[in-house]
Amino acid sequence: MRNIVLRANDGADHVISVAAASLCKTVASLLQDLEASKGEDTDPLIVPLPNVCNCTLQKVLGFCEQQRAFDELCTASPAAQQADLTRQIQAWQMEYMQVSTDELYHLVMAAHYLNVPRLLDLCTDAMAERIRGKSPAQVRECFGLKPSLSPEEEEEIRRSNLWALN
Amino acid sequence: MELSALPDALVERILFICDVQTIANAAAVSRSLQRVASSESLWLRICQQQFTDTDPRQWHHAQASGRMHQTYRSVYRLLSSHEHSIGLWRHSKAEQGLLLELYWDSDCIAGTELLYENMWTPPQKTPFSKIGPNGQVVPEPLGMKQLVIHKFAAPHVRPPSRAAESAAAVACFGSSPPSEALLGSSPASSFEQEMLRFMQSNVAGSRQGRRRSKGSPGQGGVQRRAVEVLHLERVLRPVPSRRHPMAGLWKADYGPGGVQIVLISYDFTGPAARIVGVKVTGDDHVPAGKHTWHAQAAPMKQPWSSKEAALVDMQGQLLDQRADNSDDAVAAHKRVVAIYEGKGRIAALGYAESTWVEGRLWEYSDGACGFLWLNTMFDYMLVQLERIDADIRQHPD
Repeated sequence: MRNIVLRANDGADHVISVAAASLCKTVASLLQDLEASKGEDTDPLIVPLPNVCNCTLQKVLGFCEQQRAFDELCTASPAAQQADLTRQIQAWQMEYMQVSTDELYHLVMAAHYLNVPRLLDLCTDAMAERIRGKSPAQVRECFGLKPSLSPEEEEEIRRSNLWALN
Repeated sequence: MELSALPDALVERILFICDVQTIANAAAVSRSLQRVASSESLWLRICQQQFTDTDPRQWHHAQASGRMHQTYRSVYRLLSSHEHSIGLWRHSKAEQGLLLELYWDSDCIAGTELLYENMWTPPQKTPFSKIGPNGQVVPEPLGMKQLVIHKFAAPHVRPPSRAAESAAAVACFGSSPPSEALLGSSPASSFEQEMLRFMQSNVAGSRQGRRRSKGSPGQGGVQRRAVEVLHLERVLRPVPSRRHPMAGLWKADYGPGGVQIVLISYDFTGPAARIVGVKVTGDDHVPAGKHTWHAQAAPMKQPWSSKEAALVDMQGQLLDQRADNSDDAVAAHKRVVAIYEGKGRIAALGYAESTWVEGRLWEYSDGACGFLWLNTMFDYMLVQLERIDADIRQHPD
């Protein structure tokens, strides 16, 4: 079995299992291409990720390994326990998503870059949750944005969206 | 900066799972968010997700070929404002009544009016005006229960009025010779045309009073008067259940009164539960919207008395009699499995002298039912009922 090494932008290496790597579609397709051209090999596959920092990569890998473990549990356990397991997974995901807005931003970018659909769904849900029901000013405050629109422009946009606002 | 630095595709993904109110708020956060929040791709996806029974692209196309530039955001507005029209409606005013079903078609809301000529052939389905993006038929929901449909005449360019024409001609006199032919055929952006347009809106407009109607979508701010207005009332189709086995829409054979649509529901407001039949379409005697009969929800105890048994035995005779009096085929004799004591409405022409007479609701072994009027003054009358669920596209509410 080939080893997969993901290298963060600061040079730190992380070895992950093929099973966990299969959740990252970008890595999975790299692996596929490699095997198609060179056949089965034991040389480690080193994937440099210049735009993912070490701590975000760790977080992403934590997600992949844990989801993998949950998947195995799901297939192994009887139907009666599935509901309980689903609750357990949801609780874990909830805990996992307790991150700062800054971390969430890096996580969603990494999930997008590595193409981890399930993590991406989780992140976009969390993002949506953070802007839901908030006024423009509150969203700016939450994400630390400086207003790029003049008050007149903002008012104009608000007016054109009045139908959706009440 | 974080949110704005995300690629548009990701922002769109995030906004896609938000409600429209959140999207509207997000649009005013920053320029980049505003761009994504009003993008065509986002609103097309939202339209497609929310309106699966119609094709938003066709609405968009039809709208775009009209007067103004259209976006999927406006298509969304149009679709969501029209959404309330979907369903079964009855005419709340006319005596004759009307059962109308409005449903999504790929590029409009289509409608059919259900009419039964007899009990054994499928209903006559008259197409109703299409409610579509061209704004010629505009639905206006009043809450969930009522709908007003405005039909407008096809939009056409009004010829310039005499007053405007002569005013423009006088105004243009200095620049070119005022000949009517020249005025009418001047190039679109010429001074003469501009003057004509100006005079048109001022001379003619002052008489009309240029109030802009508070635009329902698709009206484009053009003042129009509806040529036809239809007030409809929603028909909530009761779902048959174990407690309400007969609830639903039925067709009923009233003999000389024709085949009419009856809505059967259960009424628990009185001291004893009742089964109530209300006319959705009516006749000259008992109009649409009135109760035609009611019966106790609890069946009579078996074995039935000899009087009830004798009535049940009369079924064949009553049906034969009906067939003798008309060209109708003899209806099949059905086995009665339950009897409900009740009252049937009779009335003279124009719903005059309306009274209740003794009646019986019979439940048949095939799930259908019949109501027997025990009118001692005249003949007994048996009205057979059959469910019409198969003739309606939508599932019960």
